[in-house]
Amino acid sequence: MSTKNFRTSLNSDEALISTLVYSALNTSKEQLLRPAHPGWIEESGKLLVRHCLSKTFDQKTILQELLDLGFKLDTIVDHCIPIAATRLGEAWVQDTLSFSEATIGSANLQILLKHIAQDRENNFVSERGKRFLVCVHESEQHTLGALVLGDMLRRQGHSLKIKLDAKCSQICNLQESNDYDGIFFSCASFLSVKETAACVRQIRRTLRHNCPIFLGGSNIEQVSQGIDLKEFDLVTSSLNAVIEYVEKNRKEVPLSFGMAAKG
Amino acid sequence: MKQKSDNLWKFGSIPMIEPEDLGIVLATSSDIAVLLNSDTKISSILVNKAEKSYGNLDHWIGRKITDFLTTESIPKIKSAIGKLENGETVLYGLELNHVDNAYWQFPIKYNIHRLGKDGQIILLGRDLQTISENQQRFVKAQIASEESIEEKRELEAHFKVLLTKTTDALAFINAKSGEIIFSNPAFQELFFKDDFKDEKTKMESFIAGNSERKGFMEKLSIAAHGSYDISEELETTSGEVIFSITPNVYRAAGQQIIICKFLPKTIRKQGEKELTENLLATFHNSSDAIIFTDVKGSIQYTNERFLDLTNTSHKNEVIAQNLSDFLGRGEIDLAIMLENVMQSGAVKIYSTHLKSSFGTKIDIEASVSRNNSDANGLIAFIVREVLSPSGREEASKVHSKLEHSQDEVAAKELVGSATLKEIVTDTTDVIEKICIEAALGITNNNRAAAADLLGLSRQSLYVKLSKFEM
Repeated sequence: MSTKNFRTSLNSDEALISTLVYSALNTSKEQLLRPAHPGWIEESGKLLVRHCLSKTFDQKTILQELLDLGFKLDTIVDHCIPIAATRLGEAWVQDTLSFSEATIGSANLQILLKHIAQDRENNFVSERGKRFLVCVHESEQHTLGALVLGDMLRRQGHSLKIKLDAKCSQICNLQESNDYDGIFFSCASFLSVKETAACVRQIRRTLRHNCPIFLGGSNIEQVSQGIDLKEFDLVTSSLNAVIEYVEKNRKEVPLSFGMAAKG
Repeated sequence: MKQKSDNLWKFGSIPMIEPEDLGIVLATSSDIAVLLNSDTKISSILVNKAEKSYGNLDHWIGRKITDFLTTESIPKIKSAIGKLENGETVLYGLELNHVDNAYWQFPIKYNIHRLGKDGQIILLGRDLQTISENQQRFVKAQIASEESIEEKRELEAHFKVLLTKTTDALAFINAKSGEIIFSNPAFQELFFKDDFKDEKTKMESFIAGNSERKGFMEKLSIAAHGSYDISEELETTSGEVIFSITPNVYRAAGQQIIICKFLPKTIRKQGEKELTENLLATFHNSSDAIIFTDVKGSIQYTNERFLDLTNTSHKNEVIAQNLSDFLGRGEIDLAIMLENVMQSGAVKIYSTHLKSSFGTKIDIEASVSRNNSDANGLIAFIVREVLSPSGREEASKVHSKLEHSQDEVAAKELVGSATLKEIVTDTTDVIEKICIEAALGITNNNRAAAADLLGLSRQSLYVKLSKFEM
């Protein structure tokens, strides 16, 4: 039987339930559209890689294309850009991309990230937000991971200072003057993990107060194999794990300082 | 030369190369040539003599090539060797990062080939250091750009917090187009109903009268360059309000911008028009002199009564003059009143004299108040004549007679009970104490002003206060 133009007359209870169902569906529509599903993310990564290697790369065009496909801005930053960066790295390892191409592709991903992040409204007076220092050690040339992390943290209401090409003395000075709730290091290569670990040992020796220090990166487990990482409080690619750690080990500060920190 | 699609020369198309010549061919056709044994240990290495930067690599011989590769390069060479062992040809260039000692890295693009059947492999490499150096420069430039974005973000945070926390309505206006570039929440609350949009909203659109809109930006621009305020009736979300607009002009990114501060002056057409009219009538008809000055005492408005008291024929003669010119103790009186009014918002009663333009003096009592805003604030003086000159003289005569008779009694009682010197010293102390108390009363306990009034140094006043335990 054709259902075309077929209507049932709903009684009042059914009409009410129906309204509720549609209301619920509409509310969750945003979530349902292109969720962080691995398959979709993988496809978006391929699309991004293709665009970022194109001679006619334009951040607005690719962003619009992803939005048209139903991806939300946060999903693009948290999942699509990192997967595209990973695929670029893999393509270099498989010698299907030269490192010049991989560098250009990665730079274009960074341009896209900047394009998305620049229009965000920041909450400067968030009461629950923490203050972090996000560093990329001078031995590390990959900055995309730190910038993605920065955007994720800012969205959660935290305030942060991003220090790229960071030297050990600069990090110590920043921590001494600002007493951050935690220091993040982002690494993408074995050598930079090694150098960063040495830098953290130096920081621990220099700083008067102990401060939580974290090491992260999308493939941190692989690139840090065989390196002594005991100076780090946590080595993880999970932001939630870090925030949970900071919450659990929250510094007890006098009320006046706590009040000042809100501003 | 004839080329075949499978990248192999036809057998016999090139002559047999003697082993001693082959070495030279390999060394010069590549920047670095590495010969590997079947166990991937380096058996020989040839470096193009033109390449000085590698130094001596003889210590590589006898060791595995993976000992001199970065971790991310190791899987690449293993994969390529695997392909060769399976009889495949590796046609693509192999980009490897060499490492020798902790800090020294150099990238090489290799072509990898099998030599014969005993598992030997040759790697012919092209130096990529030039490209690598360019990449390093690019990364440095990228980092510098990111750092400047971070600095901008930090400044932006300060700017936004400053705008948000400023209670005065502020707007940044393009001097040429009149479009609002930025505005703070206080401004948005006044002028925008729901979802505001600064961009493309022209400042003229808020002018209450349509006829006033044309030429408004010109007026604003002239005021900004002349550093004076203008008054304008603007349409707010709650009706039409007269604002005092303080404009300042500056240049940024090639644009001429006017930053304007909006202070509401009066509220009209909101049921308070009647009150305004009554206030104006009171101002003009009051039996007390009412004077409005700026924060420095320059007269801005005054009523007719003030002209009467100062024997001035026309308002123009007093407007823009300083009120201190008409006060008995001149600048001292004015300074005391202004300082107190700035501190506490109002002075209830202040007694002094008012000088007329003919030099005569009359006793007055003044009450002073100011509006709430600090900048562009007007100080209101309400001045009342205390007594008519004749009445004052009569009262003075009666009073002096009474006092004189009392004084005579007191003097008679004192003479004989103490020496003249003691009487004079004690009396002087009493007079000093009374005068200091009076001065402190007049100045609302402002010791610096009281010292000025008494013609004493501040230090001397403190000594006397201590002496009299005041």
